[in-house]
Amino acid sequence: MQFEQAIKSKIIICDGAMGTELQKRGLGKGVTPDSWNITNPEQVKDVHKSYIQVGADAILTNTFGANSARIGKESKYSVRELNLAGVKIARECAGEDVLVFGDIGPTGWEDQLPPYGTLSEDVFYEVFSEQAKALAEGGVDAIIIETMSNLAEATIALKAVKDNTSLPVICSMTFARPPASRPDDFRTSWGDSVSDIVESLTKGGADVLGSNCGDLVNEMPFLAKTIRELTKLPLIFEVNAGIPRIDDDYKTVYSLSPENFADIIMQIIEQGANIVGGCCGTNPEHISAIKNRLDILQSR
Amino acid sequence: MTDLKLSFVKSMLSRAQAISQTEQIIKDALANNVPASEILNDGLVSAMSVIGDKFSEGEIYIPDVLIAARAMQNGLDILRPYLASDKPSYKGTVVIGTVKGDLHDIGKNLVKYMLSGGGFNVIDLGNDVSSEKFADAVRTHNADIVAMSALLTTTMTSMKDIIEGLEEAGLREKVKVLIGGAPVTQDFADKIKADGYARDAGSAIHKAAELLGIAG
Repeated sequence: MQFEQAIKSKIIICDGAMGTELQKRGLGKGVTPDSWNITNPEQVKDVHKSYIQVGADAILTNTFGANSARIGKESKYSVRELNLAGVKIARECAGEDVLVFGDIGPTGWEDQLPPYGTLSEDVFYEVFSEQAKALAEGGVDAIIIETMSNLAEATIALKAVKDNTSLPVICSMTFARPPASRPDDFRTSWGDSVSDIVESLTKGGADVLGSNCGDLVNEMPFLAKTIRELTKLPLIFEVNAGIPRIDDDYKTVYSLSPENFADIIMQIIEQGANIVGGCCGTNPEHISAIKNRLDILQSR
Repeated sequence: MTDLKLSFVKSMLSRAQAISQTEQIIKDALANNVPASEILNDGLVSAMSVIGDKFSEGEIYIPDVLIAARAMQNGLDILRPYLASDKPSYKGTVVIGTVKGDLHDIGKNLVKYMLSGGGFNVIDLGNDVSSEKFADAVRTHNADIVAMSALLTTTMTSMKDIIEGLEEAGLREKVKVLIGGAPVTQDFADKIKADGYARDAGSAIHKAAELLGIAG
């Protein structure tokens, strides 16, 4: 199904977390998830299939960190190889009916554009262009630029994707918890406001706007409302499975059950979201819970 | 010198002008015969502490802290020739690093800037730091505090291994352990027997001082 057609006709259910699911399958500390596209493709496929099986309409390629800024100079594999492998795996699992979103994450660079840093726009632009080209070459249905905390960086990434591909682009920012005194002043950890984000990314040609990850979970529906009031563009929200805690065996546990997670997702949909899915700590059970709720809603 | 402190808070938070304005204030103060140590301690260091508080309270954001740190660093370079001793009197020595398996370092660096801006001698071990490396650094630098950061829920458990490593090396009694990072909580700090938890870079200054029993 084409992306443009899908977004007009239904709520698109995205998959859940990739990194934590790969860890369950043996990904060790200090190994980048992206490298598994080449060294352990069957495990990556297994994660994709687990989400498609419970009803995901779209899956994200395992390429969040597959850019030259993150993989570093010592990487055994090139950016192009990692991304092409990631798309191939996703495409094989998705078939004709499921959409594949090519995933682009932030550079993770602390050094930034002036006046905060010393890097030029070109340096960022090159990183994102290289990855976008590889994802497009592999054959994704859309690109998702996600987990961005810095609007300046997200805006350059958007331009790089627009310049180098003709694909629809989803831009998803990560927000910090607003201070108690200003509960509706949603900002990224770099201080970017919702209105600046909507303005800059709309001007840059984003096809979908939204948010994923970060400190917000219960506040996500309110954030969705806030963004919806500022734009008519389709919206995406990928929510964490609550705030992580460490249990008595030092295992990481996420607090939101699949049903409680689905409660939040349904509130987000009520605020006008078009694409919903899971971020850190979510698994196929969380996605299944969304699917069940939507099925019930649509059968009424 | 509250005026100097206030001037520095304003200059360091003036974004594009932060470095040049801070530099100008330092030069003016030197020209007016204000002792360099006073410009440093009552001015820059105190201002950094205020900036840390503003960051904790959500008044300012990461880029503000990054540029304040650059303005501070530039200011120190200007002051250094005027300071009486090459070895400034530090509040204490901190070895800091992101724990094994974790390659994120923005948060750790914010803490580093805050602590060094706040008058501590900070030894940065970088990211993906092993238990042995922390222990070695504590010995080499005669550190007072081990500060660890983890951004990932999957790597925060390495903090426990590092504390155990310090115990095995016979260093646990010698140092205070301060931890932080997005998924870290006070509960977790208690569980792994860390001495302190700071929820952000701003509170790290106060917590580090508190652990050493001095005013921060």
